Amino acid sequence: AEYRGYNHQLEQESTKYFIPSSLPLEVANKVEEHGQPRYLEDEGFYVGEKPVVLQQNKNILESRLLKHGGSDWFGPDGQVDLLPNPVTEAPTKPWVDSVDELDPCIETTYVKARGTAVEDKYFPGSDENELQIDIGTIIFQHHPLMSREHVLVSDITKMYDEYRIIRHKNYITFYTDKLAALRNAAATLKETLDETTMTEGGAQRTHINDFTAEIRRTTQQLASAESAERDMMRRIIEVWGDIKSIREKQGYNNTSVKLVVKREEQDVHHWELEVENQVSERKEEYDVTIAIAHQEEVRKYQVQLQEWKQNRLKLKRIRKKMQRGSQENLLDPNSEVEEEELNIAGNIDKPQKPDKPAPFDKDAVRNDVMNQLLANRRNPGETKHSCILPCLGPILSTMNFPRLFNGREVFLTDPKTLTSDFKLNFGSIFRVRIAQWPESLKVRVIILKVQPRLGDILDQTGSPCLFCVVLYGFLCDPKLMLQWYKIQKSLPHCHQPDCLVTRTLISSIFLTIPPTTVHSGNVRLGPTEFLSTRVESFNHEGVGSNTPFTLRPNDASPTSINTKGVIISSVSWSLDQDGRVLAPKGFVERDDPISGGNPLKINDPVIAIGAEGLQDPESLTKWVKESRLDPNDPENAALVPFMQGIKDGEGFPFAQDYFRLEQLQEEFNFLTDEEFSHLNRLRLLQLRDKEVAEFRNISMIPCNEHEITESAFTTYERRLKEKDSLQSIDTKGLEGGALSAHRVEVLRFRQKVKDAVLHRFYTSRHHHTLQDMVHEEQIPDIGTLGSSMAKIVEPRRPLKPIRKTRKKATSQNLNEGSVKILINVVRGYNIPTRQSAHAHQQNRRGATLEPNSKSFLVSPFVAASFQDTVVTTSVAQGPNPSWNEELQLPFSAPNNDYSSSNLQKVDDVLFIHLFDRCLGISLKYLRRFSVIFMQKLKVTEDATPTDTEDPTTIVTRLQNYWLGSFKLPFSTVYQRGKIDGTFKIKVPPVLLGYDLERQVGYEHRMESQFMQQSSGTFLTIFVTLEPVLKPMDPPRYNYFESQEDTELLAKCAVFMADCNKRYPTRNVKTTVIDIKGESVLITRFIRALPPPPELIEGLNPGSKEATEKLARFVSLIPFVSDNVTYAGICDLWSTCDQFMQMLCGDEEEHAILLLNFFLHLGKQAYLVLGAAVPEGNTAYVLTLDQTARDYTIWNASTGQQYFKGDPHTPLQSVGALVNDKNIWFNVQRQAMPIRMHFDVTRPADWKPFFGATATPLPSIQPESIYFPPTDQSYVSNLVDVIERTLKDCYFVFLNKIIFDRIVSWRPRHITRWNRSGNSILRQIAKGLEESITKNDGRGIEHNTQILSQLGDVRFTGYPMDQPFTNVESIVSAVRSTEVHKIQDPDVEFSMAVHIHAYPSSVLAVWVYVAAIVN
Amino acid sequence: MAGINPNPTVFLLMANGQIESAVFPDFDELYCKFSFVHGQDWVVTSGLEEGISQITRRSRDERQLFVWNFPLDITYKSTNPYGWPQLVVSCYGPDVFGRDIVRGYGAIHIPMTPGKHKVKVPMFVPVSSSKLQQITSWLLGRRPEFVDPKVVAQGEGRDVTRVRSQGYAMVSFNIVTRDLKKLGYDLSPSDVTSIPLSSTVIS
Repeated sequence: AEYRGYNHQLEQESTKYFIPSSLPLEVANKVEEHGQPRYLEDEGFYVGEKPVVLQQNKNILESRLLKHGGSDWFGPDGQVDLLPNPVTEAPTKPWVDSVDELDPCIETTYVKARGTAVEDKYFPGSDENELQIDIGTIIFQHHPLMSREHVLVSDITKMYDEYRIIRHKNYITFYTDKLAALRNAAATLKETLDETTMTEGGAQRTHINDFTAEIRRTTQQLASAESAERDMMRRIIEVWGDIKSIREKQGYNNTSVKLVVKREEQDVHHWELEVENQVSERKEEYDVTIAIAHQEEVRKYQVQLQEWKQNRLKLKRIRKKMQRGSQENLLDPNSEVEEEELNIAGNIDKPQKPDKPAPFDKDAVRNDVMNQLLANRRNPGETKHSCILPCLGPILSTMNFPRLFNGREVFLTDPKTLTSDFKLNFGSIFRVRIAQWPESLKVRVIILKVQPRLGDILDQTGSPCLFCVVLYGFLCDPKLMLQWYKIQKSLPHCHQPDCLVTRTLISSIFLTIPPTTVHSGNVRLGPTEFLSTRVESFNHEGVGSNTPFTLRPNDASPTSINTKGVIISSVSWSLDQDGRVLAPKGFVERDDPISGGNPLKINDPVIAIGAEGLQDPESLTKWVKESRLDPNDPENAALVPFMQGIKDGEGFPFAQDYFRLEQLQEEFNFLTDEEFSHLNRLRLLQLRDKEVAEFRNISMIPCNEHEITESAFTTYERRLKEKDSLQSIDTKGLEGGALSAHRVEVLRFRQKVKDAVLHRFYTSRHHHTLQDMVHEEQIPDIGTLGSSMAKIVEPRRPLKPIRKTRKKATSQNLNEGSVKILINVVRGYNIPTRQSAHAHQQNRRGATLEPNSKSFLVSPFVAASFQDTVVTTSVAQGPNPSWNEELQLPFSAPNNDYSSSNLQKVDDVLFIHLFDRCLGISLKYLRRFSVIFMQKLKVTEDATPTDTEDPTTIVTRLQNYWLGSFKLPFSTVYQRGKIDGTFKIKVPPVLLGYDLERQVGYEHRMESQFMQQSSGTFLTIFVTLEPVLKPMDPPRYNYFESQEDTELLAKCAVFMADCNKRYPTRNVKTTVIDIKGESVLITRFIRALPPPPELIEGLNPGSKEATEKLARFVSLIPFVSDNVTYAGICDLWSTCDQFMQMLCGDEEEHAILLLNFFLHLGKQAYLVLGAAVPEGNTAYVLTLDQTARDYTIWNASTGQQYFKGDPHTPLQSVGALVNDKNIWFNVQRQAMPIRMHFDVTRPADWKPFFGATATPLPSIQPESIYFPPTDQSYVSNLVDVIERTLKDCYFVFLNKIIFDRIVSWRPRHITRWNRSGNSILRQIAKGLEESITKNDGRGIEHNTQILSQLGDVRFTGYPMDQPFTNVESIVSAVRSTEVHKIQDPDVEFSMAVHIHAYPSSVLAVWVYVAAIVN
Repeated sequence: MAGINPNPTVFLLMANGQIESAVFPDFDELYCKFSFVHGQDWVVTSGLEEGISQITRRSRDERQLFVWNFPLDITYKSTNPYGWPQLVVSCYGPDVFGRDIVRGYGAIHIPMTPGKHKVKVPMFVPVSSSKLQQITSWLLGRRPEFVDPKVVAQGEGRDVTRVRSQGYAMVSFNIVTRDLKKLGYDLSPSDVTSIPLSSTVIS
């Protein structure tokens, strides 16, 4: 390319580039047509506040705009046309969901809250403000029902009223007196004028002139007043004549008006004197006005004439001179000028001589005056009128008054019947309590026309008319409204049951709202006129309204009259009993003298602009329209609504200065709300949308309303009803009857919490994160990269089995029967062994115990039951059997809905029972062959029928004896996927006919360290689901609100992240969710709480007994998994008082309660967060002795305790320890409790959350819990009695049910009850609760006790204990033990139920069941 | 005429047509999956709800089209226009290393008016949440994908995703409806005077 040089480049650029100047531009360029700028502001227009823009930038912008030729960007003032500042004056508060979701783009600033105009309309102490509206009378000046006579009468009445007013004012006398006085004054003045010299005459004369003028004016006024009066009288008489003629014509009187004309004599002398006076006055006047004026004119004329003559002389001289001069110097330019002058002078006219005025013609004047007087003044004589109004006539009408108050009907007068004088006397006073400034007060006159039904013979003239007046307004006392509605509804029915009622509005009148100084004590009734232009015509005498009619028979053109009348009313503020004015206070003491009296000023735009007393918004609108205000000026903002006029006639024309949401909604509604609520289809759709359980998965909702039956809602409504009335115990039958008042409370509370929690989570469930929506590979870090690298070089181990994760089934593919529960029963330990009854008896009798009397071992097998299906393993032998069998149980989800949210709610429990199968030999035969058989039994451990010598007579039965059971909630299996471990079987403390391992174990298994450490029976099982169901995702915690400090929450997050990084599998929590759905720091849950005093009464607080008793108490509170309670939403932690109130909870609630009790006892205790079998992540309680070497782990929900070194501790790993001060995360290598150190002061083992110096945070737990029937000394005797009867109820009740049930379970057999056994068992059962807490070995004693009392029997039985939840669960627990399946015909049953009541309705239910074979 | 119910309780919607072609610059091979998403009051009476097409190569002319001509044919029965069915199309194709990568998601409502319609379905893909992830996802051939392609037919949870547009697909539909008008849903445009009600006309 060619080099062009720098200058060339600049040149080129200057043509291409434009650099806008930042200097101010010349104004002339910017203004249209280069004229001068106009400043609208100076001309009085409102321009608004412009936003602030840097002048430099503005200049640049302007020059850029100008460059592109856009002069229309500029306003007439030469500035860029900027819109006014869009920032509103009033700050608003934006809606913020949560702190995290604040839009970073929006800057928010804090502005102190301030009141708005809307609020100003309300005043404090609103109930103190009372308006009193007095509706006095309505007088109709015209009414459609009036006959012609009425019309005339009303005319005459009106005229008479006017006449009376005139008479009352008495103008004539006034003017006459004035005239006389003036004349006197004028006469005296004249006299003095004559006496005095002419020197001062000038002033005097003008005075006289003034007087004459005044006299003349007064004379005229007098004349007109007199003529008016005469006219009035004449018209009255005329109308009276018409009335008389009408009355004559129709032959009856409709009205009672009578005109009386009074005559008054007047002397003629007075009359003549008056004429004389007037004539002389006229003469004088003439002298003054006409003659003097004439003289003046003549004088002027003479002066002018003189001037004219002089001019003329002068002109003549000039003309002569000119004639000479023109000849001498023709070319002189001056000559022309002179000629002109001359011409002008010559043109002046000769002044006219003024005409001489006509001389004063006395006779003509006299005649004139006479005529005038005759015309204006009455002839000698005077008339008087009087009206009398009696009641008569067939017209029957009723009337009442609705009134309007700020556009709302607030009150209605009683209907009043219209009487024939068309006057309605209401005399009703309304009191309206107002909370807001009334903006208008409108009275409506309404006719209620009651028409007879078809066929009724009722003269239309006689059809009654009802008139109503309703007060419209707003914010009045709702009671008033109610009252009014009652009236409105009752009116047509109560008065005229068989008639059609039509309501027609005649007219509306606006009343003035009085200043606060006007109260009912000083107010006066005042008239207000009203008018209606409604057209009404009748075919009877009634003349109608706004319809033409001929009033008089000889009238040429018909007249038409509108309905009109006067309402006499008053509005004032009420007075209370002490005579205080019930007007809004605080407004009266205003400094501003103008608005001080009227508080409306600040609120009411109308009054604010000075149009005080203008209470009629409609006329105001008109005024605003006509006055052409500047709508842009904020000063006028309040009036802008009026400029648009009234939108709809009926509505209140004030557009309020606040925003009304959906104000047009009404017009778009095509159904009323009530009709909407009756639409079944819509309701169905709405319920489905809300995911109400009954409707969640409904599909194909019918598309026609009629296809949906009411039955679709029955289950839902029943549920709602149940929720509402949990206390109606009777409906719930027997079980309901068992509920004590406290339990009902609990149920209701639980339901309430559940509803609230569900609602809270409903929204949080619809939050999504990126992970929910998008699959994205995580960024590989060095570790994962390294391990994947290492995988390549890893040696191959083809023989090592590789675990494969099973595929998780999606809920869509599942159906009935495709899901199974797999239970792998591996082995059992320490199963109780059978003891021979005879061996025992021998034992007792001979007192020699054979060392190996363990000859009666057991043949245990495991039965798993779930959802009414039972599967069993094969029978194994011995107390430590090994089955290694897999059991399959079918699982069916409720409603066949396998979605995770539904599965979460399954509250079925998997029971694993341990049974002993033995051969029961019918004792009928046994007795016969007793000797042989006993020998046989002694020799062979396992007698079979084939072994016996006599196969024909010996009958044996396979019998299953329950040894113990173990419960596994389905929700646990579902949540954890698999459960694998060794579990302690819950074996009853007394098992009749069996030896618990305790007795057997010592001698033979002493060497086994395993058994030395732990007592009890164990089963090793593995439970899982096939296929694996996908558990529900836990809710995300970051969506929960929190009352905690944000710093603390951040610290929690850091701590959690750190812990999870080091040991991801260990269970640790810093914050948990309380039942309000807010996250709370876990330490706040821990606080020493005093246990029920009855429990530790008389016990050493530190003793083992006390702790065990507390553990027992806590474990008796029913256990319900949060997953079940809260529909799988999440793990909620409730405080101890809530827990005691709900009387159910899962591990952590139990653990916290127990821990808090322990802390109260002064123990060193911690909450253990860890993983256990079968629960998974759970909470246990750890107590330490002083040296922190010996420890005990408590499972609070079962009450079990595990000592140091117990290999069967269900706690598998410890994640963290918590107490009220701190959280310690386990950073030891090992998480198994046996291999751990529990000294939290060692930082190498435990990582604390707070530093050593941190002060503990305040707890959310209450200081103490009230345990309802706690201290006997506090609770009165009465309560005690009630408690006891309730317990009795339970007792009787339970007994009955279980008896019945056992009978019904044995359909083919007669069930015999051993009564004596019952009573014995009852005695024992009572002592059992104590024995279990005292932990003494009374079990054996029971055995002996029973056996000794019943004699030679074979005995099977056991006591069961469980926390009381409901009767059904107890029944099913008893049933599952299969005692009733003993089919020996000789069997007899014994049973006893005992309930041990702890405080707070915590109940331990003992059921002692025994089968006795004689 | 027999079989015509004067008081129907359901209406029918039949849609057939094809996913004709797509325009995706920069790719060579593509196949697509489609699925219909519908509300709770809709039931498929016949036809396939889901399908997967053949792999097609870009045309060698200047149009650069991917032509599938993949037929769609589905009939719905419904009681409620709420949840009107949508067609969700998602396109996949191998990248340079032969790895299957999602190329676009798109959704469109089945046209409501009877007749022939040709609609253009704009397609988009979620983008990686960071530059680093973009690189790794490119290296590993694991681009971000929607957990379920059907989320593009819903509004819920979309606020957390970031997407980029990728191209578009052309779909043609032939729509036949029955009994809609009898049930009070007038879907025909105002210039079409009326669809003859067969029951009255024929009988």
